[in-house]
Amino acid sequence: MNSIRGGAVGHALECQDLTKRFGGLEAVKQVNLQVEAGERRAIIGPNGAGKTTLFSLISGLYPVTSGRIRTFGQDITHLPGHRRTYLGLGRTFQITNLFPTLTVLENLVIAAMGLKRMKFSMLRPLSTYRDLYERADEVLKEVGMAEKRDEVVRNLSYGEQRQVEVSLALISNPRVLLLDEPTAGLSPADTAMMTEMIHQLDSRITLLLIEHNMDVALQAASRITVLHQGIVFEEGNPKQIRNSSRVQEIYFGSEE
Amino acid sequence: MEFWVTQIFNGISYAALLFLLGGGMTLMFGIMKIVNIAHGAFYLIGGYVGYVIVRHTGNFYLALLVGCLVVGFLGMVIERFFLRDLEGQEIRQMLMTMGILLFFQDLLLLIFGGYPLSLDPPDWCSGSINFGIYYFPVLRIVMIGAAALAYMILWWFQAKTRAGAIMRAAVDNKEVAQGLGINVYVVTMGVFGLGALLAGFAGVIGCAFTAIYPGLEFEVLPLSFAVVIVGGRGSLKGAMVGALVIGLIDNFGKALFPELAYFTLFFPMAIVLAWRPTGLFGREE
Amino acid sequence: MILKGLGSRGWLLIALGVAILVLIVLPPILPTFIVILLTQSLIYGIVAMSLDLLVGYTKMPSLGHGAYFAIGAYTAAILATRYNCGFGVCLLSGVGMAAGAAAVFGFLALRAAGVYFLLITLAVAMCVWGIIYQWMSMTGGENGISGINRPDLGLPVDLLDHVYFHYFILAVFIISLVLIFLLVRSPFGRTLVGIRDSESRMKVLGYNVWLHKHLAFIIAGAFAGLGGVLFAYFNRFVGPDEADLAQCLEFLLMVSIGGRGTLFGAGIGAFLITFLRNLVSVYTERWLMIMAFVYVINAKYAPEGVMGFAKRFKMRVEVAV
Repeated sequence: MNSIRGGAVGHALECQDLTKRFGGLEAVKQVNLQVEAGERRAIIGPNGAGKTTLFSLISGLYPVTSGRIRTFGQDITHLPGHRRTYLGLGRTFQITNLFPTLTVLENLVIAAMGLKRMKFSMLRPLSTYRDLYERADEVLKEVGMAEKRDEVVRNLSYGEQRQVEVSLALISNPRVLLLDEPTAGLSPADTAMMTEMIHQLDSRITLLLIEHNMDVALQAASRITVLHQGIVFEEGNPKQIRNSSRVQEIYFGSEE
Repeated sequence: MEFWVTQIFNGISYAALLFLLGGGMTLMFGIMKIVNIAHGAFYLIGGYVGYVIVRHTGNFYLALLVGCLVVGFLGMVIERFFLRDLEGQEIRQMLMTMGILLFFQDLLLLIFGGYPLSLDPPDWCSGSINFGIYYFPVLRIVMIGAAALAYMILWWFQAKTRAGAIMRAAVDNKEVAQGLGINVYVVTMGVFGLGALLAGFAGVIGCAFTAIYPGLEFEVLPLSFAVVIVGGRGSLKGAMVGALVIGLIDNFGKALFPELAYFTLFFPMAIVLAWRPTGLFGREE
Repeated sequence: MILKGLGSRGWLLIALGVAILVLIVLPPILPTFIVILLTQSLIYGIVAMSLDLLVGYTKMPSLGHGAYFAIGAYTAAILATRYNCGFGVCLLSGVGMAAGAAAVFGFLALRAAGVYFLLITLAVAMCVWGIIYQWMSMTGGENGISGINRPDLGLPVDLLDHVYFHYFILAVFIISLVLIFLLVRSPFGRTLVGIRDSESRMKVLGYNVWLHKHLAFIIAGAFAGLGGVLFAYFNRFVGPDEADLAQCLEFLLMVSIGGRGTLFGAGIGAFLITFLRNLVSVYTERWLMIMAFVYVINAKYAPEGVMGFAKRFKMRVEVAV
């Protein structure tokens, strides 16, 4: 459902003067962001820059203090989180956020069920809804985790858990996908695998990526937004950001 | 006019008792996020200890002192050995504190029997003070005084001493406090002991004022809960305000609509919960 | 070898089958006292299972479940004694009132989470208890409501007979068990587990977490109300004790001692606590202290209850075999 604004459909994701205050602390200050459909945008910045807070504002886990958020022209600023998922928003978490006592398959089945009406069905066993299980198996095959399907998530390696984290977000066919530090804590081998997975994502999906690993960010993204102390510090293509002395300073500069 | 003055006075003296009971529970709730069902037992134990001391020495002040110390010490022991490991696990905490409550209920029943006991306060506490047509029982005045004194001492302790600042820090944010080198475990134990001490103090006074008997520990629990709910987590000021609100509303309620007695106690609670689930002075979590 | 291939689900169903068989076959030859305890255990079992839905499956620490039990009991009692209503009307009204109350109180309670949720449910239970105690004209106050007759179901048997009433309760219990069991394995039931494991994850997956919790709260309240209705007919008397703090905690203990989140555990817990409470008092006056020990030991050393213990035992057996 897209609203027409001035003839155009609207950006895939747009933040307008977005601000979030926690008590006395302004974690996100007047952030303006415009991401186009199909774009690969990386959000980078030193610790405490407000990146994860920004994601939590966009996905609806925190209420905004002021400003607006729009997706494909539709204002979602005050929509509860689960309604934003209906509009095509998907998200992974920096700290792995799975269902620890359930198996990989069960995790995915619950994810697949998220937008369906049958989630309120109370008498028929879940196991009879074969289409959910087929979809789950499909996604598992896509990300290469099919053999782990019956493993309890708690028992998986960290890298495998991160993969499940991404597949949970993918299963609902998001239009805008927010990946929060997907390679955090991964070994070089797993990082390469994750980078490849990101690369393989459907090009129609709009991707926002928080990354601490500069190489991954610069490689995966077509455009980069640098956050520092809650504001948009700089924005540009990978080459510009790589060569920017201002950006280097906030990472390695004397003020740190 | 006479009605209002008397009722306000009674309400305030009732609030005094509520503050001593609920204040202790508020502190415990603040430091450990625990709803201490065993709190009623502290009240009861205080009362019985006070009774025994007065029986054997006739000294009311000694009874107060020993009652406080015994219960305070008991509180610390219970926190250290029974509650510390259960942090954050509400169900286990509830079951544990219930078990402790039942244990003491039966133990005290075994030792003292089921009949209500009371102790005699010192002579100067009996009788009433006269202001024209008004009669103010001295004991009620003493209760108000005791609660006010306790509040002032606690406030001074929290606001003006280093130990108090440490306690406030630990209540505010345990992890940060630990990072600053504060031994949070000692603080927890201390606060728990302090909360118990207040309840024990209330118990001795309660024993003098009315009586104590097994089963009373269950009766005082709703009152304490009410103060905590209205006042909020860990806030001393909140406990005082909560006690006053509940004490006055309940007292007026009982006087004006006796059939609705318990309702007038829990109604302010419901209002507060609907408006601010974390209590009037609690912090947003 | 058959044993190994059975799986935990198989074991449970066999155990359940045996238990039900015992509950059908034995009562005619058991002493009345025991039959009464069995019946009471079944009634509490329904309430405990409904509480497990909240506490074990959804991680909503509800300390006020006794309120809905009492509302169901009192509704049935009042309608049966004062208005001479039939069983059907009393049943539906009792369950309806309890569910309605849960719906209303759920709005209040779900404004908070964790220990604040617990505090609110506690406050609600005390409000209900207080209203029961004070509203003498309606509830009889301290004296409760007595003289409730066994339901008239048009059956050729006299439900005053303990054994026949036991079979009646057993039938209702089995129906409830099946319903709750289906619920737990249904899509909705699995969403509760998801909420227990990670609310934030559920939210971004598109779930209206508040709605699911509220529904769970209402369903649990409804079954607790059902237990209350049955209790009114069983006990033929209801009093304020049905809603007091000790009762609320005892339901919690039943769930905990059986094993949270296992459903069958709640049933087992109901039997254990009911029998413990009543049999111990035959042998010693200190039954309260024994209960105290049960609370403390369960809380400190055995929080996973009987089912947790059985699971670990089974794993050890499997490793050995």
